[in-house]
Amino acid sequence: MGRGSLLTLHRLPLGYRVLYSGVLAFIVLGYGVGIVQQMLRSGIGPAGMAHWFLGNADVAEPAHLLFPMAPARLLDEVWRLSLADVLPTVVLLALLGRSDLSPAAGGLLSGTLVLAALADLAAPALVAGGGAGLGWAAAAARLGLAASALVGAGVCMRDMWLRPRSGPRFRRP
Amino acid sequence: MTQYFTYRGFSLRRADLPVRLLLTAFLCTCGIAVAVGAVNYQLRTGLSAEGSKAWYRGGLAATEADARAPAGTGPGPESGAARTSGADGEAGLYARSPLELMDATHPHLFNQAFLFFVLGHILALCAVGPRLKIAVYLAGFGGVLADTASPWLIRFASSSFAWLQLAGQAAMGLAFAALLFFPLREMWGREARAARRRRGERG
Repeated sequence: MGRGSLLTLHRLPLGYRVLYSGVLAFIVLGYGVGIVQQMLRSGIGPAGMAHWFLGNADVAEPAHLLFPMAPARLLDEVWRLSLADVLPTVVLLALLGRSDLSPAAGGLLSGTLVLAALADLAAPALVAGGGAGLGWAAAAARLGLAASALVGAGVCMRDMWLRPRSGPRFRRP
Repeated sequence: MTQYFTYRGFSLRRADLPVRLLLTAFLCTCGIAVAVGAVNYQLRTGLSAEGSKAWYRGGLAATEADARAPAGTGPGPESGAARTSGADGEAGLYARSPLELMDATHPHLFNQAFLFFVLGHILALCAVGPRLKIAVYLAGFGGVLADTASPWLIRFASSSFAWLQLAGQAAMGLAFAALLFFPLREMWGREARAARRRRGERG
């Protein structure tokens, strides 16, 4: 995707590679921790995701009692998701734009990331409005976002550390 | 900012006045945010190993600063639940649950790493040696890792890891100071002003 530009990941000097690798590592770690967090809350499966938004009064003996989220709490959840889950995709997309992926592969991966991020952001409203039957959409969005972020971070890391650094190098002062 | 990356030999010293003002305002805001974060830690743990142990592992040995704070005034939804009054009326702390720790770990991983990521880009435009830049990046990210891992280690492994948290915070503090100092010096320092005067520029 970044072919023809000096600003491609495989041409970056060591300082930039350390900086980008650090943030990519934390993005992957953050998504992983987010999944474990949801597992601890109510589960990452369709039923667990539905319980998180709609409450679990119908569960016989829940580990912790969850109440249905009020509209203000749903908005709060969307705000948290936009900061913690969606913001990292902007950084990932920017870095993927500097990777050496083919336009088709890069477009597919970027499109998946954007779609998963949007679906993750819409999940609270989807489940609250559409009912527990849409819990699968919330679970798929959360897991799909984490998986596509992992692939995107892997592509960027490969470009920075495993590809031969041929051609003119971009140097900082 | 990225347009400057393609200028060979560019440094912040050569940036236009509006860019320098924008970056200075951003750096100052970040400085205030980090200062507020430090005060937040001070109120919770007294910035001491003993305070960290009490905050994560619980017990009535709450820090003096914490005892002064009314119940439920700490940041985050967990504060009210985790703090209660002891038999003698002093504030006490309960051990944190995995979910409470996770609720703090998840946003911290992103927020702190992004802050260093953005500030690292600004440092990258400074005429500072590459080794120093890499050391600052490693100190920043290493500090974030220590700061996010230590609550789990304190709670579930050993209270001795409170020192790891303090070390992580010190590393983050040093990295952050460097990330503020070098760009500000580059933009407004004596050498930058002299260079701009030589070129007949304003500011």
